Amino acid sequence: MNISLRFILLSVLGISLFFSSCEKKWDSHTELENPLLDESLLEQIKNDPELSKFTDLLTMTRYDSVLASSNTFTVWAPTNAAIDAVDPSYLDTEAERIAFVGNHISRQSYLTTVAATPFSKIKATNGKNILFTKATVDGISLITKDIYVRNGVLHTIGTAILPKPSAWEYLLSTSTLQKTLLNSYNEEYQDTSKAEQIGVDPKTGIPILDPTTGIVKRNRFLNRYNSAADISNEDSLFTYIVLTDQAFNNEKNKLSKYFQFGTDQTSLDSATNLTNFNIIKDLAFKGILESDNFPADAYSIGDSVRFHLNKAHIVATKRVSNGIVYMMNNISYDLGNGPNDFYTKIKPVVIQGERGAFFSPSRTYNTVTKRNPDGSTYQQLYLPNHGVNALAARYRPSFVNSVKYKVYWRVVRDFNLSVTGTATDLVHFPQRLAFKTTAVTSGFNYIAEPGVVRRISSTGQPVLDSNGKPTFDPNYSEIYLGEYTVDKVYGNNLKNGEASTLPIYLVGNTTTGNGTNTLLLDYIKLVPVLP
Amino acid sequence: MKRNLKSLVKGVLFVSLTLSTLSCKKMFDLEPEDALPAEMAYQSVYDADAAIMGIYGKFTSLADRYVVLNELRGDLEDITLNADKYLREINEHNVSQDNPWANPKPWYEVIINCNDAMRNFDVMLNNKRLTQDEYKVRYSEVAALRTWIYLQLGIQYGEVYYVTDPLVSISDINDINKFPKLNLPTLISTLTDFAEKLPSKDPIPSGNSLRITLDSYNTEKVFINKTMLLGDLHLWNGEYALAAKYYKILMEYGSVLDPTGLQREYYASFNVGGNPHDLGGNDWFRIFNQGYSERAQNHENFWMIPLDIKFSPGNPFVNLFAPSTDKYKIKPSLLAVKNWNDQLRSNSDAALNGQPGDLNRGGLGKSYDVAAGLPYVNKLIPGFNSSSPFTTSNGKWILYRTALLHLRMAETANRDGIDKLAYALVNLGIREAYTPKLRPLPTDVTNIMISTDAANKNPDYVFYARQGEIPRYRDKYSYNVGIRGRVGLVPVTVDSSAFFDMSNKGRENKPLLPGTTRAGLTVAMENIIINEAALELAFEGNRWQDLVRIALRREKDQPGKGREFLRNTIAKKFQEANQPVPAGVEKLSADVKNWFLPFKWQ
Repeated sequence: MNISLRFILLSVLGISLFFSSCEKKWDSHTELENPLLDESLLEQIKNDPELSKFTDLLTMTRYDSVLASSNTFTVWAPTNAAIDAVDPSYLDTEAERIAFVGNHISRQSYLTTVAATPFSKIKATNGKNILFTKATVDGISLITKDIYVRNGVLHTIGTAILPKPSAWEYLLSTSTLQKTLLNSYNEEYQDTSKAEQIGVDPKTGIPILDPTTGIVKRNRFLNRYNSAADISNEDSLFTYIVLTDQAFNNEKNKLSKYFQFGTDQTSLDSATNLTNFNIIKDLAFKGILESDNFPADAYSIGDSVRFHLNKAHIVATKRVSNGIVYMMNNISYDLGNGPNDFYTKIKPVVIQGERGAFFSPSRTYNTVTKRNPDGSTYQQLYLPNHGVNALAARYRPSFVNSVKYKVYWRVVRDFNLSVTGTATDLVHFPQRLAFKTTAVTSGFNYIAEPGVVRRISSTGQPVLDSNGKPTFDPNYSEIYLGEYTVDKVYGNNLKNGEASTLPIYLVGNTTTGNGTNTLLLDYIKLVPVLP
Repeated sequence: MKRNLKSLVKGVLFVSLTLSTLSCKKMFDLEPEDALPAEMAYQSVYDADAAIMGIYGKFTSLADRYVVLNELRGDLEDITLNADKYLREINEHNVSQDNPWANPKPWYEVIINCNDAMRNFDVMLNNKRLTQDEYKVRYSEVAALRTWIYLQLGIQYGEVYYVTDPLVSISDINDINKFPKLNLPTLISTLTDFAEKLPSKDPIPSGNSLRITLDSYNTEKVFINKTMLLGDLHLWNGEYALAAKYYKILMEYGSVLDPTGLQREYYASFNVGGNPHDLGGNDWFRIFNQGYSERAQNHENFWMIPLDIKFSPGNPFVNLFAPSTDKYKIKPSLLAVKNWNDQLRSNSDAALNGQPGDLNRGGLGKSYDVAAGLPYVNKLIPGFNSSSPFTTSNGKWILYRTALLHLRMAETANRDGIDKLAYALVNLGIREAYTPKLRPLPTDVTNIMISTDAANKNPDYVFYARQGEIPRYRDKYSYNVGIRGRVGLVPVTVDSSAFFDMSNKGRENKPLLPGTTRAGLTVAMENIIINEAALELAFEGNRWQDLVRIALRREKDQPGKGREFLRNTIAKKFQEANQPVPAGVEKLSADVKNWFLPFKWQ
């Protein structure tokens, strides 16, 4: 009996143990281990008393409804102490508050584990980029990190991330001549995709748009002239120079003489505009150039003008969201540097003979490709046997400054270089250059033997062939022809288009016989004479 | 009862035994209904024709192998990133034993078929199933093709097993070592003796039942040209005069086709050049991009096989060369492209003469082209468009063409001491070269413009190229404009002052400088010929053979020179592409054995 009772007890115990050991395995399988995952970002922020001031700001800027939505976000929430420390000027207006709060929020979840080395560039909801590392955001240490909730990630920080202006916004906040000038390029236009349609033209079927809608502002300088140097672009890194008014005026005085149009008021205004434009077009550089470590040569974006930046000229330095801005009271760059340096402010002008030659009466010319002695190739214009007395090829360089130019050409005659028969000399085909009209320009007379050099022995005597005739070699060098002072600026981007260009002519010989009036030209080069 | 049963069993056994011995003799020996047994295959001349066509069908599958081995090992092609390790090995001359491109078996499969057909033709002749005439043509055809394949094997492997026994199947030669192994010189002289004894060396005559339209292609040009084969064999053998004899026969063959000479383009194209509207200048590329049956290309190509994607093996070149991501395994080398760009074009206007770029052969869309910034071989797949592969993949495998013939003639003439003829054929033609340069011309011009002089009396090297106006007179070779003249390039010349006494300007045949021999001049001219072959014949499958032939010749003249020539020529491909010269290429200069593929039965 005892035994059987013990047996029963043991049985009961065993059965009860069996049932009690039955855990809810399935329930635990689907259970949320982290209760935070039930909370939204907004709830999580609200629950933290340390973030109450940020919560207030969220409510004020209506970002609270954004964070309560089903999208995912990352919030770097500044503590109350951090917000207290913020200069109140950042929180004065509604727009400033939105920019401020938006700078702490980004779409998508970013845990510290995904931060790249050296940093990840993350776009905040206000359009600025913030730099995120495993321990910091924009250089501010994270207090708590990686709080993972239902719709994103929360980090808290002890210092607020103040929205930095871009180089463009910074420039607009200054009161310089440069700002006024760039602002003058602002314009408004109607974006037809954004404008409201109020009807359809019954004749053409073209939609009629409400002229008051879809108006978009833009800056012509940033958007059209040089989009590579668009300093309002948040995704690039620039070094940008803002000139002090005094420096700006110095530049203007220095450059205005190369951009002259005339003496009447309209011309003077045009000259001022063009000079101003030429000052501001070369002030942006790629990347961040640290003032302690300026490169000897820095090349501006766009026209690649070689600058020599000097730390001593820096008046103020401002880190901006897309790089760095230096306010400078003086800049130094290469104005001009001989015939082969194109990294200068006033550049040499090269007119290729085979490009865009215009003839009257019209003629078709050959483009000849030949090799230089070093193996590289060049192309030149070649027009023989055209039968016209003093036929001229007209060229229109796209831009010429009001400056004195040294004029060169390169003409290579590598054919028919031996004197045959009873002749005592080659048949040469004299050519000359002329400016503005085909009439002789003073100082530019016919060159009698273009494209060839006579072989001269070391003693200075002409080298003769076996028949006692002179011998020739092709002339592969640039030949200096003379100086020409351009009276005003010419260019095809000016008001009257092509009519505003400077015509330059290659004029052939005053004969009509075949072989005697050939036109041959590799290029014309105008090299500015600068102080 | 028991006894009865026993006897019944006995009886049945006895009857069965009896029946079994008496059984119908072939009750179970059935003939297959869907296949032809070997001994039934050769019944009539049409069976013989079918055998030949079958062999050519098999032969066509060697096209990609032939081109890869002869071009990728040369200096004009390079591999792309798509190339597998085996193509890379071929390119770097470091071929492993298991490389499928180096497997000799596919070549031998065709050889075995040839052996079998030749034996059966013999049997058919004995059984009077073939007439002597029918036999002559067919036997020679198959024998010549086998000879060509052995020559290829010799060029690729150096030493080959010469199998002529009519074996039943390829599996029987798995023990290949029981056959005689011939080295290249022995092989070539054996092949030459064999080919010289062929009963017929002429092209297959018209009206023959082999010349039909098969799968919409005329078979005339499908068959190997035996005259060219014989010329090549003698050239490999160093028998230059004999080679010239055969090449000359072929160069004159236009006159055989058209004895009146009125159809100028027949022989003019055999002369290279000729009708300028035909294959000259910009039309040079017609040789490759015209369809198999079109007229102009037919004047140039004289051994070509259609590659039609409707029939196996399709066009194997597409997979190797076509510019699409899954294909494109082989591309033109930078060296080949540079060579075209370095050529100078001729022009009657002195100012326009000498502009760089061989546009007709090496411009874009000609021998090579560029797709998505990548150069690809266009010559073998002209017209191929990766977006419509089923209508643009057909092509031709060109084995012999007239420019090749002229370059081979130039090579043999040059080695025979007639470098002027070599110059003429390569450059601007016979008439130009054999017109005295000194002006005014002599009053008696009867004997100018003929390629004969004190050094050259051999009729095989004499070409008549006279052209006169009063009375109007045109010899057929007056239309010959030379390989370079046809595509409008300036001639390339040997620096005469290095070899000749140039002091007497008026003299036509200038004396050699004291202390110089013609040997140096011959090598200099040969370099010009081989470079012209690179420009004209690139990617077609002639390069490596040409280089090996010339290297062997130079090695024989002066040991070391041939190895140096071959190594330097191939190394230039890598140097031009800024790549290190692979060890396998460096080894080419160490030993002639290193020039050849490993012979490994796979």
